[in-house]
Amino acid sequence: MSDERHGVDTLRAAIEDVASGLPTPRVPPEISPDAAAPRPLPPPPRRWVPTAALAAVALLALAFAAYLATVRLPRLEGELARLRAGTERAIEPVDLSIVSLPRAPADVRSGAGGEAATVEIEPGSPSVLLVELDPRWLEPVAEAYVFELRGADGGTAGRWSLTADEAARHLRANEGVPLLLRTAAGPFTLHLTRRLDGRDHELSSLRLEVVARRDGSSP
Amino acid sequence: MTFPIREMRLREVVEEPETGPAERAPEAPGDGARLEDLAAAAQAGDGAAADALYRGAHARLTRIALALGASPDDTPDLVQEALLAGWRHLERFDPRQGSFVGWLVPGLKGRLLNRRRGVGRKLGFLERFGRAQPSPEGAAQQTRDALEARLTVSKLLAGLTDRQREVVALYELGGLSARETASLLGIGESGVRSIARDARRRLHDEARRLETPRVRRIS
Repeated sequence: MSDERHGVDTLRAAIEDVASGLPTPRVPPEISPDAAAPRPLPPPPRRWVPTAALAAVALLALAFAAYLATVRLPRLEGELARLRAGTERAIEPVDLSIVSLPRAPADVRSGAGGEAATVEIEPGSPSVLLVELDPRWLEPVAEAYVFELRGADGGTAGRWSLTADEAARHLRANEGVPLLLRTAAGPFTLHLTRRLDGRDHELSSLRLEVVARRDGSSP
Repeated sequence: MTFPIREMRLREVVEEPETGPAERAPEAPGDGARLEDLAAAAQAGDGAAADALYRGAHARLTRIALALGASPDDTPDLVQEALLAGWRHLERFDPRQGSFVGWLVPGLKGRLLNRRRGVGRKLGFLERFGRAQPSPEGAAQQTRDALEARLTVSKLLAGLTDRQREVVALYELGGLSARETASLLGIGESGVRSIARDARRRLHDEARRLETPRVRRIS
């Protein structure tokens, strides 16, 4: 009978050999006693990165606020004050003179055409001459209106040109035509000419006595 | 041809008084405790008993799986899966219905069957596409003894029918009683003993054949 079990024993021994060569079983955590006990909670993930980033952002914000309060804002206020002062100068130039051109050209040689207009300028700074026009001079089909400032010797000291539309716009706004004077003191004659169909027709002229302001102070 | 039940039982006792389960080497679950007692303790929440239960059942299920023809490479996973499934439903185990290992055997057999089907489909796919059958994983690293043991198991089991293989695995090597084996296989206890007897003879003959040196005649 024991001989009959020889085959079974051989199979059992071979199976034991095979089983011994298999990986050693590890009790799964699901079954292990260690797994039965509640596992300690893992430590919370370190959040140093967001914290550091927030701290850096806060520091930057504080530094920027300090920079604005101590440096930038005073500068801005200074610049704003300068701009405001410059604007006011531009709005109310101290060297603005207003003249009205007569309805007929002056006879410069005979001295007719009314008295000369006196224009004060401040040497070294531009002066604005506001010239009022007569609406009747306006010709819609005119090609151009030309202002020419001539000296006593007949030479040109300044020349300004504007179209009929520009002249009409000045008239509708009931304002004069601003001319920027860059001349020295002396006698001048301002001529207004209208160009129509290729021909120039003088509309008016005015003698100007350009004088330098003596005290240099604003009026 | 029929026998009275009393006669059949008498024959069983007379024919196999020495080769029954009583003669087989007793299985030694962890720490000498019965697996059924360990299972009861584990059901009560004893973690140490669960650990011992796992280790003891693992060894016996491994032998059964190998005796059923499972690949040694697949056996650890099969046993692990069967044990985990049993652990998850441990409250359903009733020692009055049978042994703990016998309770796990259906799950083990089902997984083995699924694994064979999967391997069969894989091999069929490879064959259809004309590719060679892959070599066993890790074969190059296996020692010669382990390979010989695997070969011996394979040859011994190859001489058995599927039913004989199941009886050998459960009844002869798995340590299950004839009654429990019969219950698992759906046959009578006398059938288990009869099949076991035939299987032992076949294993004996095959083992003798393996032990006989083969001499090649040159001339």
